[in-house]
Amino acid sequence: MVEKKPKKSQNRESEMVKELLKNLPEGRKIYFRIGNIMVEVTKEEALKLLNKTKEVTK
Amino acid sequence: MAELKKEEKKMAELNRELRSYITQIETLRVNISNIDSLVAEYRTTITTLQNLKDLGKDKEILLPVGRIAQVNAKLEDVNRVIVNIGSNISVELTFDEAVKQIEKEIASLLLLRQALEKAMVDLYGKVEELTQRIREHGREEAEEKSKSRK
Repeated sequence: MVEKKPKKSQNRESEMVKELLKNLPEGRKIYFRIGNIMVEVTKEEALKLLNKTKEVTK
Repeated sequence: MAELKKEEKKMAELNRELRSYITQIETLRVNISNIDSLVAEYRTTITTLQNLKDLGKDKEILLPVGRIAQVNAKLEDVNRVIVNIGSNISVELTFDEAVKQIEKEIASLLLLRQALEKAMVDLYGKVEELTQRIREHGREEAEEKSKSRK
């Protein structure tokens, strides 16, 4: 069973991921997991997806 | 009689409180055990990455496909590691960055473990205190009962 993280912890995680993405040097590959598939995304797409996930969990 | 009823009610309340503390301790114990497993897994990951780096490029490896099957593969650039950084996002990091990132995760998990352990010690203190109160209460209740019989 996957344990659902508390909202506060989710927000903190999302902030940390955002920070890490912003500091990631250019040219590095970024992947977003959708089910079992890892999709390669750009930094902008990743940040957009991150914000979208944050809105859904609000 | 009314006094006795009140005492019994109080005793039930104390027992309920005690059970709640014990449940909280059990939950904390499970969480700590999960953290320990995760830390052990992360440490294994660092060792595996180090071993793969030492083996170097072009080494033949077996790639697990589910739990039961494996297929042949060739090791490519080990200096590029894809690390899950949370929120369904994984990024390509250099070997050193990846190890640093995993070590950072381990450090934050150990900090969390420390906090949970402290909470557990506090709860144990509360349980001890409550057990003492229940014992005293039980003694008083028994005395009350024997008085009312007389």
